[in-house]
Amino acid sequence: MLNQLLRRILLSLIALIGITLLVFILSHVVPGDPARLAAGPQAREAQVESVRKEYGLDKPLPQQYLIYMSDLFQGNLGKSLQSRRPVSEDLVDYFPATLELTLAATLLAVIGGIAFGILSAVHKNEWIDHLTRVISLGGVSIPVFWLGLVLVLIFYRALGWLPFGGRLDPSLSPPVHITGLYILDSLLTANWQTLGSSIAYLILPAVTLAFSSLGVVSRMTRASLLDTLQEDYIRTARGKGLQERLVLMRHALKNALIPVTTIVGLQFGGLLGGAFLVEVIFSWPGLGTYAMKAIMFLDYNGIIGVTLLTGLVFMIVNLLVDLTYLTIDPRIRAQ
Amino acid sequence: MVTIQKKLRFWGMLLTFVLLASVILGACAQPTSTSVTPVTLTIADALQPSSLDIATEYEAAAMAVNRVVYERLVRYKGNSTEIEPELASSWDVSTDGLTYTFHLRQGVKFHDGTPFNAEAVKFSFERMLAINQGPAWMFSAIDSIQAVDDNTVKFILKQPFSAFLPVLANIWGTGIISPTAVTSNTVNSDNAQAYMQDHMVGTGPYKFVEWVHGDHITLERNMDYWGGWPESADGKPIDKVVIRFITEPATQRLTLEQGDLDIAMNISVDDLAAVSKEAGLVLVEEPSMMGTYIRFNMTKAPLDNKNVREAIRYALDYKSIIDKIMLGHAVEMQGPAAIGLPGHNDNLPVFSQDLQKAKELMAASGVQTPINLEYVYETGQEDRRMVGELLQANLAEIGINLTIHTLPWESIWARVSAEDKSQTPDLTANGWWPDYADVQDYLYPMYHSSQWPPASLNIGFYGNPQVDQLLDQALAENDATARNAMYEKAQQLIVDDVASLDLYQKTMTIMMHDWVKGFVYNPIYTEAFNIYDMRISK
Repeated sequence: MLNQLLRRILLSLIALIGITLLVFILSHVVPGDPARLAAGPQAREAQVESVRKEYGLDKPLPQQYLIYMSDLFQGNLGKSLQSRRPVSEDLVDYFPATLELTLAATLLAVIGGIAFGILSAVHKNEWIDHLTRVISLGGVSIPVFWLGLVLVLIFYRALGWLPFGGRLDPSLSPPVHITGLYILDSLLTANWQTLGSSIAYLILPAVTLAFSSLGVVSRMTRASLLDTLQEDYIRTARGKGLQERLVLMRHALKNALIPVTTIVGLQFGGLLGGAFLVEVIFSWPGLGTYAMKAIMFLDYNGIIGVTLLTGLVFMIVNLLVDLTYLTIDPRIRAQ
Repeated sequence: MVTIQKKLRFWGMLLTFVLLASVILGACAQPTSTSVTPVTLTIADALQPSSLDIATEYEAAAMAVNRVVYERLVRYKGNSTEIEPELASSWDVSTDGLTYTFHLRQGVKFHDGTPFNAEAVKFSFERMLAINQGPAWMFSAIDSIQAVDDNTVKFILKQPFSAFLPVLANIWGTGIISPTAVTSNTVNSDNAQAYMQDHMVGTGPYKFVEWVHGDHITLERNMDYWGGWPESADGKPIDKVVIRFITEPATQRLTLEQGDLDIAMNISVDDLAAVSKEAGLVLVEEPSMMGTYIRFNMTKAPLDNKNVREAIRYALDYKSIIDKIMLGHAVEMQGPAAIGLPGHNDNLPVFSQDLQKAKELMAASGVQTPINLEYVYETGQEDRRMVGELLQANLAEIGINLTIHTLPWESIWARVSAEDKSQTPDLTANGWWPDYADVQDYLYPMYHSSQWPPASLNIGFYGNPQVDQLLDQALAENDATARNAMYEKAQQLIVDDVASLDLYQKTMTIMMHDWVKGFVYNPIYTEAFNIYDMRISK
């Protein structure tokens, strides 16, 4: 098992290097001159040249890649053309916002999705099943952009229940940067005002983002649970006179959740990507906002930095999912 | 069995608790701040600056903060391009136009307590010139700076440069920075560039508080401001300024309507009419000096023929551009320089379509029709695409087939600066806005024959020795009347030579609540606000 894990980590690292090469090539074949974009439209030739030199853009492409990689192995992600500071500093500023949003959405999708899935499976073909199926189907098929705006129109504009735009009431200062996750940092520093405000600001974007995954998780839970309920051992459990609730929760659900776990791991990646769109609508200062500007400016280091980090997180989450199997399924542990 | 149930119950309770707590805390968050509510002005801007360093910043996004945190020696007055004192109380210019002596305001302090003096002025400019980025090109005329005494500073120029005062009044590179803040934060002789990236220490009416990257910048009122804080019947002075970065226009609109914003800078043009009808919201629409024009490649047949160029000039339907393409949010240009700039020639013709005349000119040109021409515009500039399509339809009437191509600016630049001038498109659309209020910033880079690409932006290869001479003379002429006469003559010659199709100047559209009082738009400080004079009356 340990061997397998090490092999997975090694493969992940190779994939990450592959990502750098791919993104490096892709971003460089896009026509455009980042030095000129960074120097500004009215900059004189000499200034454009000096930017080009400063960022090493005057060197041949393979050499630029080698320089980038050797810096990378020393933990240096290079300097961003658009923000003119180290990419690592930018990521420390922007990534926690995206992570907080994605984690909240994952939590909502998992809890809500499993709950809906169980309800559907238990009340198969009853009205409650139809309702949750409609909601799930809606979740999968409604565009995030539209859903976000509709939720905003209802809960912010019409009812005025929830705030909108940003991560925190602009009159408050963010909590002391410990993890960069506002909710966690507020808790750690016992700053109740920022805690309340950051939770309130998180609700709408998190629900918007969670909605599509909630549908997938709920469909998966339903199908998997229905399958499991057909198994012989469930019949045995019922036969020995166990309460239906216990049969469901203890015997069926545990097995039914194994495929759901896989889906959650994959969904997390999807949510991380989906967050980019949600961030634009909700003016959420995360990686999406940063990546968009990096792409507009052809900020190579910024683009590669974002892709690498997203890839890394995706891989870590899927490794964690693999580890979760071990705890859920004794059969895998035994192998 | 029980454990799973317990676990589920635990998570259920936790979730309920978190949701409850959020509602309660969210509700609590509001009333606590009512004890001493600072008067806050919240502005939404789609763009976030890259950096706050006054020495390197050269982008519209940084204008709003720079205008009120830093101060310059001189500034543009109110809504005009007239120069008035800011940190300098008065100035003299030597008769040869080479020495500018500024007498400084006394008793001014930087936000960190450092006294403002002549050394600080010298220090600021020398730092900006040493870093030599962004706006530095505008100051290439400076030879040396001398702090004569505490309150007097002298700028010695290499050659006479009549636009020097307008340059000093512009936002880029001109703000005076606290020398103490720079020297105490310099690391590896970087002139404190790393520190000044997200710090600002000036003398202005507002102090920099924080920059939450991607979210907002906060400024607060400088109670020790040398100008004091006079009472006004308009309302209360602004204690706190929050500039929020909201890229999505729909988000700006919603938050503005809900009252979470006082000012929105980027409401979509399609929404302007609807939003401005709402009670309590005001649309401020002012002309900008941002010109859009099309340049002819004058080195290549048939556009080397003046009659053909003039035929195109009369074939174009200018009225439709303003009404249908720009939806009324633009005014037609009058000649090659923006209306409103000092030195603009107000007697030039404003053209309108005259197909009859266009056909006659085509016939007089002796060029065989049909002819094929190429129009190129920068990718993403939707208005220029529509102008191209209109021009295509108009030119078809006089026997010209126009093909339209879109390219990223770098590719356009590669084609206009190619050695072989036949590579340059026949017609190239472009835009320009002045960095400082002088018509020289329009005419020199775009029409002087020394400014053909790659030197600068004379992308139509226009050259007229008489125009060159006038522009050179005007640069050295210190008498404003005489200088303006030269500029006006030059503009007339450029129009007579049909060097360009001068299209339109967009208007700036800003939506605000009616409780925001005292905003005065300045056509050079386009993206900035006179927050010191503004008041809130709720």
